[in-house]
Amino acid sequence: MTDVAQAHSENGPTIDIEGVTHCYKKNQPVLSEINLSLGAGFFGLLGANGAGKSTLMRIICTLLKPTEGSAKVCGFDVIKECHQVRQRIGYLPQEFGAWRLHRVEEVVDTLAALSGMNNKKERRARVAEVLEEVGLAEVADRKVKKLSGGMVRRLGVAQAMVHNPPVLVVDEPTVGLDPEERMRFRQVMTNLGRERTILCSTHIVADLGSGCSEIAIIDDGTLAFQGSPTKFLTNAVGSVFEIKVPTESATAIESKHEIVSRTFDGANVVFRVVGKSAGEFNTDASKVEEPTLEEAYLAFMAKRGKLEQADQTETVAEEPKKKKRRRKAKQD
Amino acid sequence: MLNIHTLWTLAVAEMRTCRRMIRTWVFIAVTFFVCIWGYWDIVDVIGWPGPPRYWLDQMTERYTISTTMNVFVAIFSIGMLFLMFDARIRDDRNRMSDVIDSLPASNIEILIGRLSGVLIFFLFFCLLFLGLLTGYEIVVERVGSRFHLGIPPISVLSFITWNLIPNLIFFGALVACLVSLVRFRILVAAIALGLIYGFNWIEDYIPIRFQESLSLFGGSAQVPSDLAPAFVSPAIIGNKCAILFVSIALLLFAACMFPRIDELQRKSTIFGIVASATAVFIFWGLITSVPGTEHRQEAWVIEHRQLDPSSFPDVQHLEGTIDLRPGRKITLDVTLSVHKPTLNTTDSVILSLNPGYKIQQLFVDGEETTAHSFNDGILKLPNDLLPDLSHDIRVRASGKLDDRFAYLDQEQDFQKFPNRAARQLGLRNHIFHRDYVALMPGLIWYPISGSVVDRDEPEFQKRDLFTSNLRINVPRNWQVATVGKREVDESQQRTSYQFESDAPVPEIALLASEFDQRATTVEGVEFEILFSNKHLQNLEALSPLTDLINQWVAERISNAHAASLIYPYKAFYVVEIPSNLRIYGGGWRMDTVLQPPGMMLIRESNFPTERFKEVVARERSYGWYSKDEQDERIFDYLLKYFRDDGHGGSPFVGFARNFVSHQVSATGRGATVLQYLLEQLSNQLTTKTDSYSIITLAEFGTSIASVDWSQTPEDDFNSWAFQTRAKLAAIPSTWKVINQTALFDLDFSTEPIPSHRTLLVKGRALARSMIDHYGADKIGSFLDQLVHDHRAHGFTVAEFMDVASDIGLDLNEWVISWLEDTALPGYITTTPSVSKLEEQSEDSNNYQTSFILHNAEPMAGLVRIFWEDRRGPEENEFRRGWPRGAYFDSGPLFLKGFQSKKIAISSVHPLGGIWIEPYLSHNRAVFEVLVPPAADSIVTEIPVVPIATDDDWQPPVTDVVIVDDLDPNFRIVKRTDESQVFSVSKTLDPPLYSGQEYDQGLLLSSGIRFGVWCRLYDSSYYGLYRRTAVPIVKGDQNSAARFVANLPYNGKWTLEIYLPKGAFSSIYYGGWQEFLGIVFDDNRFVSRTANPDVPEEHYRLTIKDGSAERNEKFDVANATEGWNEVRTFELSSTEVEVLLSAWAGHEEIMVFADAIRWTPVSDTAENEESSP
Repeated sequence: MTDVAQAHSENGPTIDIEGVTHCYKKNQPVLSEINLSLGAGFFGLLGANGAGKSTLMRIICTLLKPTEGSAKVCGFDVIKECHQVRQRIGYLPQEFGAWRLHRVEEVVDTLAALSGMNNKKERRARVAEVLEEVGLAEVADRKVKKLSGGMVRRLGVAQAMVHNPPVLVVDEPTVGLDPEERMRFRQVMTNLGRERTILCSTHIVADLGSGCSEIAIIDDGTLAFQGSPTKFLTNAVGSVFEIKVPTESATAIESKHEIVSRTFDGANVVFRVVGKSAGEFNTDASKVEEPTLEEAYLAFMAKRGKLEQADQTETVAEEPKKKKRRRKAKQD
Repeated sequence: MLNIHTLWTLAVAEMRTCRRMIRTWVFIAVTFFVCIWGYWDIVDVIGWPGPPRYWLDQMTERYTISTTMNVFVAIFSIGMLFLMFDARIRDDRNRMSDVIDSLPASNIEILIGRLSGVLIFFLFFCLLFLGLLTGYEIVVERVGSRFHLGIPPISVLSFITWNLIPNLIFFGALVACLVSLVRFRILVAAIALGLIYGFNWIEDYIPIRFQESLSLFGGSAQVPSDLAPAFVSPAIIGNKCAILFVSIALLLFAACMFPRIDELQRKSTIFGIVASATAVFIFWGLITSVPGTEHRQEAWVIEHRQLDPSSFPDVQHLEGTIDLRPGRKITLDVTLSVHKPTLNTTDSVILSLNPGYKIQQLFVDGEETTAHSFNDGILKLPNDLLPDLSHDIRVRASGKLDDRFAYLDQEQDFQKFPNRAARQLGLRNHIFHRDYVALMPGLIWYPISGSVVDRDEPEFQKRDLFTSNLRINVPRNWQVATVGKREVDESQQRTSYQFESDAPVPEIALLASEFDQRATTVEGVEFEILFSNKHLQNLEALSPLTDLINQWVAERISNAHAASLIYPYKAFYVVEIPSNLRIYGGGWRMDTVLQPPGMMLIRESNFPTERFKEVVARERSYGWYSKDEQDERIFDYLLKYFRDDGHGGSPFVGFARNFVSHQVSATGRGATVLQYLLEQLSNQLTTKTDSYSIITLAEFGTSIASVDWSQTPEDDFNSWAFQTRAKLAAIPSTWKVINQTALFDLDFSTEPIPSHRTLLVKGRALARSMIDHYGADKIGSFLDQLVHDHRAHGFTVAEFMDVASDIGLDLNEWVISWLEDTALPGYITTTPSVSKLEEQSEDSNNYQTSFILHNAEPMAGLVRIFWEDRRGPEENEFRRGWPRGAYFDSGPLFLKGFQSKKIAISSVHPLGGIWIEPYLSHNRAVFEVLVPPAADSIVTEIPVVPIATDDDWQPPVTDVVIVDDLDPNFRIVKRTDESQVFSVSKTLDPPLYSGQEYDQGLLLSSGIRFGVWCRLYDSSYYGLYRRTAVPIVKGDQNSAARFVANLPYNGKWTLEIYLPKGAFSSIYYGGWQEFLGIVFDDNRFVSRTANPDVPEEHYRLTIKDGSAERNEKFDVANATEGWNEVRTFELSSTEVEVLLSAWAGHEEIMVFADAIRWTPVSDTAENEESSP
């Protein structure tokens, strides 16, 4: 058994959150009474922007002290035993940058050393391996300030993984990644999730992939759902319907119903919409027996009146701020 | 708590960031430039040898690195600031802070790691700079160029260890703490920069005694030394430990304030408090140890002051063995031959000895006794042990001397001053180092008679003189210097030296080290130079001048022999001493300690390490001089160097004291003055120069008013000591005492400074007068007889007079009056007349200028007359002020009270100027006799006559009444608003030593001040003895100068006002401020003469006699230099007041209040001038 697995088996749930409430301002809770227990595996944390996912993750990663409640990682309290917790986590924040004047390899090597990898030879080997895994091996010598946004994101993933932490907390990890990279990332997470706990927050359900063992949905600071994807999908059956209409009638459908997805079939548009029964639609609608995870999520959010916030459009990672003069010159 | 790997990783990351930031390299480049520039600035200044001046912060340049490179530290601290102050913000900007915060590193590790990175990075460059500098120094020194400081490596090491590293750590911790506390980085920068400035500023205010303990920038043991190096002291260790604890506390507080969750926050707070408390405790211990020392010393003073002088024996002879184990122990086995005090009213006899000793055995006349006590440095022997008149007391003691037990009665404790220059006077009372031993008399390292306080008040405690025969045991290869001729015994494992002196001494100094020894015999006296082997470069550079130096020394000894003065100690040692040895003594005078009997001590920071090699090289490069001329020039330079030695290490003082003042002791009334007089006389006979020492002129840190005016005498020496003495002689506060207190009545213990000034001025003038009047031979014989009659004993004034009388010297004529009275001569002259030869030639005298010189006071005195014969026919202006070119000297002229001499000066050309230099008189300084612009008569022959012949002339008695600005009837008055009546201004009675001088109530100034009546000196002003005037510009109508005349009778009197040349000059101080129309400085003004076309511009006079009051205008625009008539008045009262308003119609017009003259209008009135 690896150390990672052992760490899981010995201490009960890997991440155990009890009654966590957090307020940035008085009487304005960002999180309310969150209870969550996670073991080994790849867990998805879903929610709209501003739902409280990052806040929860920062609490787990010992960056924030919860207003109420407690959180434990591998059995160690995130506040009172934060040092123990930090030895066991790898964290990729939502907004990640690195020392701009350092090289890629130097950043990962430094953070690996700071995470406890004292053996230089092993560390160097591991750094090379991780950079290969995230596709940054060819730019290992490049300074961070010369990297694209996606490369920086991958660098973030690399630094989070390099020291093989039993718990990996990644917040919006695929922002800025192209589809191939995102697929690759999903695969990596799935592989890693076999032996460790990965908590991945995202608002793009597709990022979770089939390897996700459990999902939790946070909505307005509360835990709206926790369970396996299968259960989630099962709950979604009877909520998603398919409607096929000519293209010229598409507008009418769009204006009347909550659209989950749309595809084009010749001269027709096939909509999947949220509803309670097929009869509520003025046209032929069939129940989708096997909705996708995205559809299930959108239906779930639509039921809560937050379909717009559950937008699955990918957001591009924000470029590091560059000197305005140069940008203006380029634009000119 | 701290993981080394974590710290190192963070440090490496930080170093990487630092070196990749452009601002870092810009900063380093600027720093290198500034430091190189600063270094070069010093190199350029110290390229040539310069004599050490008192009170200047003159550093041993070679130790500049260790003691003065605060700027270096400050600059790098600023660098630390700008690399660290935004560390957290950089993380936020780089969006790294969440990642770093989630790492398993504690706050304290993050802070220390980052700080270490910046620190190591900067240290590298600091060490690089210092390494390059040291390398440069080594190379340049080898090559022989003068462009280097000669920095010793220990100085660099000391700087790095005690200054650079601790301060960078401290400052880095401070910035880290500020960064945690203050969110805004600009505010962090501002606060940190303010603190850098503040730390540097406060350094100037830390008293010396606390500097090692409290100073952030303390270098190696404050006063560095090659001879007795001290890399560290307990105070420095304590200081650096305390600073380290402060740094730790700051970091711990920074860690607990860091905006990051850390389970160690509570521990950090607790440890931070503990570290702070530890630092405070250490500082408290360091600070309180100082008063502890002072309390101890005060207790000793109290004990010693309680001793009755009647219990002090008379030590006749000191003999025995001193065993030195340098750095470890002194063993003393000495026997004192004493005469018991005959009028002892106590039950014991008192000796003193340093309390660092432990007395093992004490014998009286060979018998051991334990019936003695030894506490607080007081060795008491019961009278029972000493029944007879003479006894031998043998003391066996050992130990290490207590350095605190020295100079307990010093008038001023310089260590209470923050002045860093005072530190350079030395902080150690003795040196007992493994490489050097200096046992100074003030430390009482051998038993002495009586108490250790008030020893420089011979009026009350006679100075004890004794002969000596001492054996000194030292390590092999060591040399020893003390009084007497040396004999060596190297038969044992250690070396022994025997020193015997049958000439008495008041004290004995003992110096020992592994010296380089060079000896020569000159005129029967053996001279030895004992320098450190490290400091021989000047001796070698100057070795070609050996013959010249020997000749010079031989001349001095011959001078002394010619004056019947014999050098008594057979050998004279010139010994190099460490620069950290204190060079001044105790008592009120705090005299130099560098001239003990038989020796002259030279500080290593002065001549031994000066750059005479450069002087030699420069002179040798002057090919147009012959070698002998070059040698002469080098030698002159050397003499000038020592002449201006402000640290009291001048051979001019050192050598001369041995002839007389070390061998006899004045006692009773006037003893201090007599002793000083003897010292002056012997000095002027032997070395023919001034005698002075540091504190005697430094005056305990007060500043001597820097006043320059044309009457200040400037001798041809231009020596600094002479000029300082001349300034002392010119300032009014000195004269206040001279006029009020006779020399014999001076109280040195309660009023040391004014008494001392008077002694320096009047004592020296008296000595000079005596030599010039009686002749060097006579004075020499007198001194010789005095030594012969009273060697090793005290003598009173009466005995002093008897000796003089025995050799035919009548001191009652005028000398005793100078000592016992306040009266002084006062000289006046008549207006010179000039005769011009009808047929002129360049080969003979064509002019004769004659005048009467009259002593208008009852006290006799001497003068010299100088004149200048340089005026060519094409010159139209008389040159005022002291002549710069060749001038003639009449030699000393003696005038009894009320005596006149006719002075006749023959010259080829008309005289450029005539100056009378009294030795000391009411004239106070040199004054000029104004030579008429044209000859009075044409003659066919210029008779050959003596310069001075007796004359019957006496000042004519007239009814003319002159009121001068120095008269008691002159005042400045102000008009009050209520009464519109002028009332006398409050006479200014400022505290002494305020830095400003007041002459009879008016501010003394070197120039006219706006809005203030002040007193000026100039030869063109009117005065009986002193030419002064009181001008004002930008005055107003509420202020006036009041002249009150007491006329012999009423009736018709003509009023005249005296206007000096200065009243007709224009002074322009406008400059750029006037050009811009802005005035920043109120003292900037324009002053001009009155415009004759403007009726308003005139002097305003108010004449009051009795009840009558008249307002008069005086047309100053059309006035001339000298006396100007105002008007004739019919006066009904004999007391007449003339008010001269400060306002003359325009603020730019100067009003000069110099003198007024009332002349009766009658046929019998005589208007003859008695003085110009």
